[in-house]
Amino acid sequence: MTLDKLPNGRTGIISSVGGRGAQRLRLLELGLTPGTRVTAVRRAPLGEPVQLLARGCCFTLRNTQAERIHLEAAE
Amino acid sequence: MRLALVGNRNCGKSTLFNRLTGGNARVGNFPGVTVERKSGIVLGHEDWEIVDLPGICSLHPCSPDEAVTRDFLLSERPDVIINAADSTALERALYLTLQLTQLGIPAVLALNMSDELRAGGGSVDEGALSSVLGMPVVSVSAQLGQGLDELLEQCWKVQRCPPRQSVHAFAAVEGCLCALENIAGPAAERAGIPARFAASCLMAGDSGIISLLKLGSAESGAAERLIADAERELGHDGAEALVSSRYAAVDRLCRECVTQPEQSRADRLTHSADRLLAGSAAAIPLFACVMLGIFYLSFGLAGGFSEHVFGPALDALCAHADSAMLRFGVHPLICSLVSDGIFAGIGSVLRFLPVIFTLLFTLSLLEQCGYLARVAFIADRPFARLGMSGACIVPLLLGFGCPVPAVTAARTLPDGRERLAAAALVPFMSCSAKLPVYSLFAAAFFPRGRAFVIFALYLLGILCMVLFSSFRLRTPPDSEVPGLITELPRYRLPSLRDTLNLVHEKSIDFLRRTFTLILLASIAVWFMSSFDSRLSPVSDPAQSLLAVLGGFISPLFAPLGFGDWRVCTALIAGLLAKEAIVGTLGVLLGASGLGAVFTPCSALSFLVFVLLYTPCAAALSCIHRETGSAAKTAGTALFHLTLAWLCSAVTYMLAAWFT
Repeated sequence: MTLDKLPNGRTGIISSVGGRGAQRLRLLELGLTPGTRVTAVRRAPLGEPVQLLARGCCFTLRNTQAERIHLEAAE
Repeated sequence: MRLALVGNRNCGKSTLFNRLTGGNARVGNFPGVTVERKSGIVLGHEDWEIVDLPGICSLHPCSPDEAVTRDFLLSERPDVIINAADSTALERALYLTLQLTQLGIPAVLALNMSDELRAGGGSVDEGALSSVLGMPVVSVSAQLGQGLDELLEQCWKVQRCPPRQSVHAFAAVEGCLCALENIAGPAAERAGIPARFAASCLMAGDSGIISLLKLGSAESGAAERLIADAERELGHDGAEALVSSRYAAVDRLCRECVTQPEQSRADRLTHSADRLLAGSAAAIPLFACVMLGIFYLSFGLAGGFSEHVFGPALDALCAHADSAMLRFGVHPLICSLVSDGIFAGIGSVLRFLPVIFTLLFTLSLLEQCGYLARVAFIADRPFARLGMSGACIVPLLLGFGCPVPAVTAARTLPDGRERLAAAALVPFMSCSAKLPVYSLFAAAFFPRGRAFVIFALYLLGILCMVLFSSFRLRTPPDSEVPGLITELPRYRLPSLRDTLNLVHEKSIDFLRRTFTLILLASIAVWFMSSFDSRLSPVSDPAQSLLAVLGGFISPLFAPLGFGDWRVCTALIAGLLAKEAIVGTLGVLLGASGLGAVFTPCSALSFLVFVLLYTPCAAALSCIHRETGSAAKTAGTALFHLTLAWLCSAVTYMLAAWFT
């Protein structure tokens, strides 16, 4: 399952980060490395972006970015 | 001594900068880019310069602003780096700190917002952290002004001691980096890049630095083999391994040296507030209310003040100056230059000052308290498709009032590309100065469909904006260029001091632009309307240079239906200020009225032209400030003129065809 499908309020563990180049590097550097827990906090009223919580920091991703992140399991 | 202030966004860097400099900043542009460079002198140390660099997430940039920070650190090599960090978000901050140690520049870690950390029951063992990192660690609170003296003392002490290179957590990564350092060392030295940082960039695949290194084919081959070996050993690719290793080190640091606070009161409040302001369906109507509130305060209240108090005061000043000059026997032409040229021209822009001040003030408060980040969050989806982010909605909406504060608001957007995009799109928003033109013509030619015509004009402006920005999108959305990733910082009480600082700075900038460019433009228009082609003064405006010019270009407007010199003269006057169009038409047409020159078809095409043509001199001046390029500004002016001409011609043809 990919991060853009993670329901609000649920937590997942990252298994891999797709994409290429600078986009992928930035996602990794935000703390979205394999093995990290990430929570989908909420989504904007229009459906995206999604507010995420990882490593104690909140940030937002668009669906095109979130769908590159694969999760192992959702809690 | 030169200090560089580096840190994540939203870590209170600006507040720290303001405290250290006493709010006296010199604002300029970094060379070659439209990113603001804020530098100042540290209070109490006249020979210490401190530069506030744009907030970054890592040394691998994703936006022009972040690139500026990295390039500054690499090329200008400050004496000391003050690494500001949000104590309550240390994991992300320490990642950057570990990266900064690779640059070999002496650094001090300033744990900002330490008061909030302590309030939440958290704490940091500064000594332990300092010994592991190999750099001094100081807890500060910029908001409360605590710890600043110690910070400066440590900066002074650390000057000649570069930080210890941190050892990577994963041995394979460390081994790979050491080997890469050896291979790329000579190339890095030639390029003026610290070897360790170059090795890190090779492993992470940072194409910007890699191209600067100009490695020979043998060296690149060897580097690739090394990285491939490490990837095989770790089971991850280079970038992933490097980042994971660094975060593993950060995790260990946090475990040993940091006691995490419980969720602070501010966090809880933020979370609850966001349930309404960011996540619920009510978020959008709430935003509309906030925007209406801003409009009411600035264009309503401050606008009213400007119209009934400030404006008449300026007029009275002008009248006094006029009568004083007459009493002193000053030549009537000079009197006219001063009153009708200088005072009138500058006055028409200056009377905006209360509106601009109020707008900037309210926007700054909203930005500091964190609400504007929520606006960017809510509005992002429609703007993402146009290659922009939700934050652009505020300057664009402000453009409906006046482009001057709108472009100024565009300057607070976090990304250089966004700022340019927003500044380019603001002129499409039909500003309030054009409304008198619309009302006049709609009332005269479309009495029954008045509101509809005006509404349609606004919609046309928005449609053109959407089409133009889609056209501007040259890179496909799914490319390697990273999309903007934003944050939703904690809500906090805005600081009055910082707000007034910011408004003061931007108002001075506005005034400076007014008294240079607008002054020149006003004098030029005055000259052209007071003299004829033989350079002798005229009293009948029909014989002035301006009218001659109007007559000269009027054939160009014949296809649009209004090829009359009086209309063209009014349009030229509108280049200085859109409010002048109605006035000039009134003076030149006199008793004959609009019907002498316009038909309903040509009235419609004229309205379309006024909607889309070149923005006023004040707006162009702001755009020039933002793009930093006279060529781009002239290009914008020409573009809008051409677009207006084409759309107006099409409108006239369609209207004539349908009637």
